[in-house]
Amino acid sequence: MENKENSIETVLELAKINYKDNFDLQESLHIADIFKNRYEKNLSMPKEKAFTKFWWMEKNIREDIVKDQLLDLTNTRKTGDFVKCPTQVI
Amino acid sequence: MIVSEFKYPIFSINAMKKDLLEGKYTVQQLNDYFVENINKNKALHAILHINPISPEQINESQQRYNNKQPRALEGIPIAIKDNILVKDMYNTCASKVLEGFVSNYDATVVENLRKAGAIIFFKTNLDEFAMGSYGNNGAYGGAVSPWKFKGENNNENILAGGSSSGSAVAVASGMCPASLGTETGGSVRLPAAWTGIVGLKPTYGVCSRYGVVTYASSLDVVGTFASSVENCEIVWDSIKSYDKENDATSVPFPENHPMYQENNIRVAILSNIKSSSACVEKAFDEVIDYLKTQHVLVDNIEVPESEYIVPAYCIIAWSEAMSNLMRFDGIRYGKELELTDKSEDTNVIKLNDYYKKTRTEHFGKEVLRRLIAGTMFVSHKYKEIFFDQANIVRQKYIDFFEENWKKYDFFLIPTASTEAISIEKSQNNSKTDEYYTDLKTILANLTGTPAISIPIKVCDHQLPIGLQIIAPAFGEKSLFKFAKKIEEKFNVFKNLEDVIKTPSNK
Repeated sequence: MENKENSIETVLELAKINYKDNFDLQESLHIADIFKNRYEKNLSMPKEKAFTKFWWMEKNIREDIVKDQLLDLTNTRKTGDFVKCPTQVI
Repeated sequence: MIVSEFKYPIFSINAMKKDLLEGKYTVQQLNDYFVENINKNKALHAILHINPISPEQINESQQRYNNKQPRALEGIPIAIKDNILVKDMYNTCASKVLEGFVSNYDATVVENLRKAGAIIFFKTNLDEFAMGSYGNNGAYGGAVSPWKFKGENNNENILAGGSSSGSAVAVASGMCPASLGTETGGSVRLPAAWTGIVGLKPTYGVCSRYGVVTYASSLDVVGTFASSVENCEIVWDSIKSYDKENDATSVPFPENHPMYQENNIRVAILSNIKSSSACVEKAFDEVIDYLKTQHVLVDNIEVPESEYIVPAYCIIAWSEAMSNLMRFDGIRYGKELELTDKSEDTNVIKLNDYYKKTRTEHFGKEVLRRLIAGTMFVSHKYKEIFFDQANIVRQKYIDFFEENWKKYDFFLIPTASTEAISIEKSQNNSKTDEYYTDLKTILANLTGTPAISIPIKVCDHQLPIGLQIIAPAFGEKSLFKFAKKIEEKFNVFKNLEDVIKTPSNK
């Protein structure tokens, strides 16, 4: 599934772009490993079964919240741009 | 003064209103009493910001009592977690990145409290950006529990639980009769259980998130702390509202909502999510035994794929957090950086370097850990392994809950796997141990359902234990009614003054 170039460790290191250098990511890796093992055990389900909204809500909150937020690290490295920040008031 | 007759830590809002109506004391005297308690309990570090109480508001509330027309929370002081905006007050989220930020408007829940007559004068401590289970991840130090308090800065002090640690401690130590917190994975119920008070996580969308600094948008809710189920219900009823204009995830509370039949109460124990403390298990079993004597139907059911509860939650919450906290870059939001490290060639710092420096200097370690991991979880190629799979697991839990709501009125489970731990003990725990502290509370967040934690016993270590009751969506009223039955039987607030040591009574 993965080679050295896109191993979890490598991708996690790349994810540090715009964050801190020399940061210990071991604890984060542990959570990732639990889930990676699940994936490799072929317990995955069809993507269309994934959570998108609660039944009592009209809008598809999953789409609204996340669709503009997915980050392609390759593009980020090329352009240095961040993904679009969702409208939120603080 | 008559208000001093209140017994720690129960403050009945309805009893106080009755006293105020009868003129036993004034609104000013009542609030002075709580200010005195705040001053006595400063060592618990529950409070981040405090504003003087407005004399105009005190006078208005007093006038309403004089006219025998008090509103639901007339003249009652309520504390607010410091990630919920209060007009003209600081809002730091216990983070240096928001140091000095003053809100120019009220969050909808705060506006609703004001409409109900509540007095808002202090904001409470929390884990930075509500990220934590122990309540000690804040940039300004952690709040500690009043239980077995050993004195300021003592490692033997007991953790309050997080992330809404300050709001829980404020109620548990008698600084106010109720407070607001926020939940993403159990940040109200866990500290409620660990400090021996009542904590409610409402149905997702029932209380507006407008003006609440977002951690994970699909999980966040505003919850309430109180010293009794009755107080909790009064506050929840005051803050809930359909906020269509401001919050796209807000929903109206329906007229037809779930309510159990008095002679046919059906509960299910989520039996495969085990506790690691014998005291917790024993206290939980005592409640179950009692319910059986009351002819409540009790079954055991097993949550599918329970080993993925915590990882799925972490992946979803951290991925959403990564996106939500990206705006705190010192340009769009957040404290600006002093530009001393300029490039020699252009005399301008590179944008990415600026972001990196801002975030490195102003975000705490735990926030950085979650943001970096969250970035990975939704990154190219890894999204399908982590984020998509986590959402599939989430839907499995929702389907499991919905299927079982056809058979049961409530799910029962202890609120936490253990009683509260000391700061010292927590320092020996790994971060993964801390994440698993929320194991029993996360499901209600992933499924959007309401849940309440009520204190049921003081364990052999002289620490409180909480019971968690989960109901179907919009089952809050049913939850309150059932929780009151259990509270009446297992009221741990009898003769507790000998047990609890706080700065005010030690």
